[in-house]
Amino acid sequence: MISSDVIRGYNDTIILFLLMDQPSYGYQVSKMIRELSEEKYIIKETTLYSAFTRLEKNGYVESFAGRGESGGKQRTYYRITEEGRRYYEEKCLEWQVTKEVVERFIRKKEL
Amino acid sequence: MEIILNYLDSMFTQLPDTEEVRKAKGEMASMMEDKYVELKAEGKSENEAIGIVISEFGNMEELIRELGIREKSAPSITINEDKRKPSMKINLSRGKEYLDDMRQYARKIGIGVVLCTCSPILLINSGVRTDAAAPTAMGLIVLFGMVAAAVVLFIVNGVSMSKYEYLQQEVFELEPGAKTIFGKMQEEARSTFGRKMAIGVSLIIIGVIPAIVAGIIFDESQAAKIGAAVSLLLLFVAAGVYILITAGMPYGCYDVLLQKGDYTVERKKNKLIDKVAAIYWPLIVAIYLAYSFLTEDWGRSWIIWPVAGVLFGAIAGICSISSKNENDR
Repeated sequence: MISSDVIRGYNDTIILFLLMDQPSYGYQVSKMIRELSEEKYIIKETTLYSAFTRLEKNGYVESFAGRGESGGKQRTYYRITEEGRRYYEEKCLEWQVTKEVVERFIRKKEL
Repeated sequence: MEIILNYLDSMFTQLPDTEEVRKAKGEMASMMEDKYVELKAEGKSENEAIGIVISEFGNMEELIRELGIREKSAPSITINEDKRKPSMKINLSRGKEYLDDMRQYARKIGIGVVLCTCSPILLINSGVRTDAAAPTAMGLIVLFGMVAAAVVLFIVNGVSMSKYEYLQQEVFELEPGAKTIFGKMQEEARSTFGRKMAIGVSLIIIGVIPAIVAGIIFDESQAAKIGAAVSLLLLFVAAGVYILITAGMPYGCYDVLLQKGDYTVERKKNKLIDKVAAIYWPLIVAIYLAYSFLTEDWGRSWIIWPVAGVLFGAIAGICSISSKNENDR
């Protein structure tokens, strides 16, 4: 069971990671999170939208209207900004430190 | 998809109608539609797809926080549109408690009624056999004993069930999920209810048969056999009534919980009629008695009753129209 407290702090990071290579839209991001986490983390719609809104307010992503490749339904796409990339790097660093510290207090189980 | 959009609507009703909120709603709808379409493409059934989309919706609080909705302009989420007072919320578990308690209560009341119905049996049978005092006394003792036990059952259980009176009297709001579930439960219970009512009524009707037959075959000298037939009647009636009570009371709960039938919100809000009735009927009684005693015209003064009855129907109609206007304002 994933810790909701911890994952809440890294929702933004997760989304930015998925936008690093190319822009994407709501459901596609949600699907990628589910697949990459191997079904261990299924992000809620409200959480996802809240995160997009927050990221945009902070200038880490920009939204634009777009259509799918074959002229499909019009959707809101999100693309990462320079600010966003910098923030992402910061968060990666933060996670490394956090992980390392917490690890010190975790007892390793004999496998 | 319709269901999903309805769900989204209901989640968003509490929010003010701003540009930002509308945009959020649109985006959420788009994401949910994409998910729904893909789930269907994967082969999921309509119900499964809808269920998954709704269960992965999340909660509105974080959205509200993120959109920075101020609570001063729009009323807070827990107060509903009724400007008078916030209504009580009833959730699934409270509703289930009510149903279970009512089922047990119905059984106890049923037993009480059976006791009352069967209480004279011993007396009837002993009384018709001999005129000796002892069996008659025994019969009387049993009768009073059973009636007393029944009364205790009624009073004690009545008191403990009175905590649910508010469900019948007050307007409340049933959780949406609970509403669907109770609606389904009522649907499923409907046929069993119908069958039980039929059985109960049949038992009562059948119970009369032995008494009629005995009345035809036997004459007064064979009082013992007639007594036995009457006892059979009482037993059948007791059994029938028990089934009617234990089937009817729990089924009635669904109407109470869903606020249908006799317990609709309009009825509850229409307290005006009760007040009018409280004045109207004693007044009619007073007029009837005064007129009849003064003119001794009992033969015709009874007409006041049907007239008063129909007139009250008109008054009740006026009351409900004016109450409706009050509520809509």
